[in-house]
Amino acid sequence: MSIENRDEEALVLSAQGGDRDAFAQLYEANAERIYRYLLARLTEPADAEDVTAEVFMQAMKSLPSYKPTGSPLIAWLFRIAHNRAVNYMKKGGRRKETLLTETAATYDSPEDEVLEKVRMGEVIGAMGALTELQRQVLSLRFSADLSIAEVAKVMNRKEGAVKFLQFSALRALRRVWNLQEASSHGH
Amino acid sequence: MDIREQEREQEIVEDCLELLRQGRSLKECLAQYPDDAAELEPMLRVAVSAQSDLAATLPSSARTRIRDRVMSEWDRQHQPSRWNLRIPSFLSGWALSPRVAFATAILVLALTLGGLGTTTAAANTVPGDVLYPVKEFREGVQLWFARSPEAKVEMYTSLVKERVDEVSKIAAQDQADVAAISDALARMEGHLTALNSVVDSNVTDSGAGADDSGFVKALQESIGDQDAAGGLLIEALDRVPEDVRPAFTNALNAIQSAQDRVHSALETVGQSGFNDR
Repeated sequence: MSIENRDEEALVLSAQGGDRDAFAQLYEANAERIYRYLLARLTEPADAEDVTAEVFMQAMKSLPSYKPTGSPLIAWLFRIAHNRAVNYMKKGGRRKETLLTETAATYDSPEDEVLEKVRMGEVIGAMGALTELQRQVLSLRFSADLSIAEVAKVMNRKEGAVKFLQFSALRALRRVWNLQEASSHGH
Repeated sequence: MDIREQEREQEIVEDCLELLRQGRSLKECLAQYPDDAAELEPMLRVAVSAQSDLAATLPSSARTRIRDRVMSEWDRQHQPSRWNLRIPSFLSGWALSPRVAFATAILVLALTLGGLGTTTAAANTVPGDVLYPVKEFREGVQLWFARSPEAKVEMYTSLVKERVDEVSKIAAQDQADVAAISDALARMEGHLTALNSVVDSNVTDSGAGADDSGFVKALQESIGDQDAAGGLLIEALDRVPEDVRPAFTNALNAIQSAQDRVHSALETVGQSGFNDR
């Protein structure tokens, strides 16, 4: 969903002034990309859902001190999402029994859940072989659909550095997949 | 492969990814770089897979659930409060305790009736003055009341400024007291160490501390105040004897280091930069 009538900065100012609808619009405009980014990082849809909610609740708390600096709000939300994801992974994610009872409710249908997990399984598995920075770049590029310039802003790095990380991540992924293929042929 | 060749390949991969993003096919991308196609194709295939596999969508049911949770929290936070009194940050955590309120009232009364003149006079003293211990005592009391991380950051930052003001005053005298300057600078470094410790213990690598907007604001203001303190020290440097200048260098380094710490903490809580952990 794109913000049509009022631009983002005006929405932020309204939300800072206590306008509930303005904050709801900011949520609608940014939730999808934050969720995708978190799903790529955390792999479990229920975890991604939990942490997406946490990201927006933290953004709500920190909104009074947020100052627009020319970067889109999503850049700030990605930083919160990154920190929350790291924190969540350190804590070991959600407990298994909670996962079993709640994941079914995350998808519109059980078929969707199975398809999604199979589809993401290979890539996510291979991403485990990447460094943290490489994973961040690929998640921001391909899950959140940011351009190199946007990723550079979010990560506070130069565009050249992001290109380098993206290139090295893709090379590493290719190596992993080559190994996986060789191993499956060997069997 | 040398660095230039690597950079060229990175550029080509990025160009192709941008074309793919715009809906062009892999074949079309490779056709633009026939000499490199064989080398690039496997990597771009990986990129295409990653691009499609990682592009999950947020199910509408999940979108609604998250929105409900977030907006309930909004409603909870924006309930009209019964009391709309702004409690100074250094008193936060104490204002509701009747015992502390009573003790504070007694202290204020005692200072008003007996010691107000003395403490006012002591406010302008510098290390070595007779009334300086009174000033130290007053600061100790203020520090004791500063309980929240935000109040502590504000308090230590204000003490740093106070010590730098003392140094400026001493340096402006005809015959600057080297021992007094060294004393004030050493105290200032002590405050910075305490400030670093507050920052370290309240901001973790995972971003804890970001929830407290008052704390974040105090950190941001602390950087500006430390800048001002550093500027005053540099101005005073021209007026002090040569043998005390190494102490200034140490003090300036301590300010620089504390600023780096605060910047890093702000990055960790998502105000700028990125947590690489």
